[in-house]
Amino acid sequence: MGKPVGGIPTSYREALRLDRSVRHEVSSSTMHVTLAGNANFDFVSPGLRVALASEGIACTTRAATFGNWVTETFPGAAPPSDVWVVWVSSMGASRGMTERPDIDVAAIASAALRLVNSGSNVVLIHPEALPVEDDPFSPFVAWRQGLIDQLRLALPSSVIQLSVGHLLRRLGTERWAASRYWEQAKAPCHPDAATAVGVELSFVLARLMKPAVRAVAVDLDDTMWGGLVGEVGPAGLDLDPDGTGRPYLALQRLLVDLSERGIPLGVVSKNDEKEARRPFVERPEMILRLDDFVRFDASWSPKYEGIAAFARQLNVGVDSVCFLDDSPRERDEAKRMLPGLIVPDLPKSAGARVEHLVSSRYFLQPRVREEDRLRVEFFKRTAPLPEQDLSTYLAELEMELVAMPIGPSNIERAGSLLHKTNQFNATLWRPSAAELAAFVTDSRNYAFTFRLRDRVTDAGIIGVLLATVKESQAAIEALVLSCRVFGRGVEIAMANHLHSWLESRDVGSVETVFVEGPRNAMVRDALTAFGLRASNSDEGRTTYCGDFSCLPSHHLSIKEL
Amino acid sequence: MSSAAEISHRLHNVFVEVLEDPQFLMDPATRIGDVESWDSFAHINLMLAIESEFGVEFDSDEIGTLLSIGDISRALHSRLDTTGR
Repeated sequence: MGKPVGGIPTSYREALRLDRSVRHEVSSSTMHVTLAGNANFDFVSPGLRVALASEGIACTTRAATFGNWVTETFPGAAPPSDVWVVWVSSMGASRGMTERPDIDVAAIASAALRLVNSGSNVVLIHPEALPVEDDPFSPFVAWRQGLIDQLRLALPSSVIQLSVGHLLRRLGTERWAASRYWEQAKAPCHPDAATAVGVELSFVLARLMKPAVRAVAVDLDDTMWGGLVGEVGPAGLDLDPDGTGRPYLALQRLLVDLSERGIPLGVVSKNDEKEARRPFVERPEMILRLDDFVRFDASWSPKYEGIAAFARQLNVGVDSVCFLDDSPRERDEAKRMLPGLIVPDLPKSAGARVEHLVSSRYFLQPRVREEDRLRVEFFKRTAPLPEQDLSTYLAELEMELVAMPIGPSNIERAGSLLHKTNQFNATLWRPSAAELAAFVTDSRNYAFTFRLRDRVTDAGIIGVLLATVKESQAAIEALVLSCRVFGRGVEIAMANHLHSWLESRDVGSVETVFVEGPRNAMVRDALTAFGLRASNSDEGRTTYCGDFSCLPSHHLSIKEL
Repeated sequence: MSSAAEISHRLHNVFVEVLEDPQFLMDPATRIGDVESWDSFAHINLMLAIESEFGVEFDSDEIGTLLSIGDISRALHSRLDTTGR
């Protein structure tokens, strides 16, 4: 199947045209989205589909029955969806601004919880501002805000809550509101505005599935502060928050917020290192501090070398790294030398940069997991090791691997790892939320996540192992491991856990089909280390079989919850 | 100002585009429902496309009365003559 093309429509008419030209062929990787709520959201769908297509994501959409979506959240009542988008529209709730009723928020929250437990992601759009609220003293203002407050309190934390207020501000009331479309079709806004909502949703859903940016490498001079620290010293830098230093500090605030939400930061600067570090210590206005960075690379080497080293340190591809630099020449060189590197064209005016980065949607994070925050702390505290001390170091880490059966509390993380992991991934199985839910609820199957802790830090859930059993033969259906824990023997310990589970059921033989991808060749070594032997090989698919009787030793203790 | 013929031609193109029928004939008597692809949802899309194409706006009461090609064409020509386009 060819990659869908799509585009970013700016009107409903354009969305319809593009929708006709996109190849909406359904495959196992297609995202299935249900749109639901208390109004007609048909005008949202074309923009959502074509904008997702431009991100390389094929999508089908269906509309829940108008006014009856809650009943469709019960098991079996509707086809499974990867994502439910529920819009609690103000126009719907107020019946076109004719009333201000109490809304059964508890029922909405229960429905959302049912969807989450069934394996769907849920995005709930908050009630939008009504045209009547152009009177800031209108009772509808307090009514709508009260509804939002109730939703915030009642909804499960795993539900992504989204406001469309920023879209309304961008379009303005005149272009957003169109009561004639409410009267004719129960549409909460003008179809062009609904298209903007669809496009915004496409960014949210795309970033939910795969963050665009997993690390940020940032320059210093005229990017982090105004001026050249090597020329004017720390005292001469432009960092006045009430003056022309404000834009630089606003960028620092954006970056520190990203770091706190799980995106590691690294400095890549052409500078004397000692001079480059001084502003972080000597200028109290600085928002970023030295310990906010997992890497500080200030030298006279080409910046692309520092960026590449940063990516290697984090075990991510450069196509997940964003490089921020005020210099068009530096940006161009980095782009040429590191194809795939994300390099926003920062505006020349520092005052426009934060808005530019926000509008790029690169940093949109619909959901922040504790795992992501722990990941940043992990990289801050874990220094590169001399090889000869590795075994001793691993033993001294006192690593503990916690195995947990996959259930409601960890199925989302399991799904995320299965979809996002490209290097240590044996079978490249990318199950849909519904497929994974079905697999883990079958009591005959082995389905565990693994969390790694040591005396320094907690890396969170970093591995998933799924296996089926038929008679006395086990088949590994999925084996994934996060790249940030490579080289610690974690995969050996995971295999040990499976081995114990199988032994208790008198299952001796194990096999798996390794599926060759662009980046997972390393898994072959692991399967061989497990004691499995390659047999049939055909078109990138190799069967490995054997038993786990000769698993190598490792330095982890294994605990099961 | 666009000629009446040009307006009719552009209106025809809108019907062809929205109803996805390159052979669509502009018979003034043809109404919503007479053609399989012209259902109530397509009617909204038609009104939207006409508003977008010609820079006009129909209010809710009007949309409910413009149910045939003839109705739509007359309302559009009338609207465009009024605005001097």
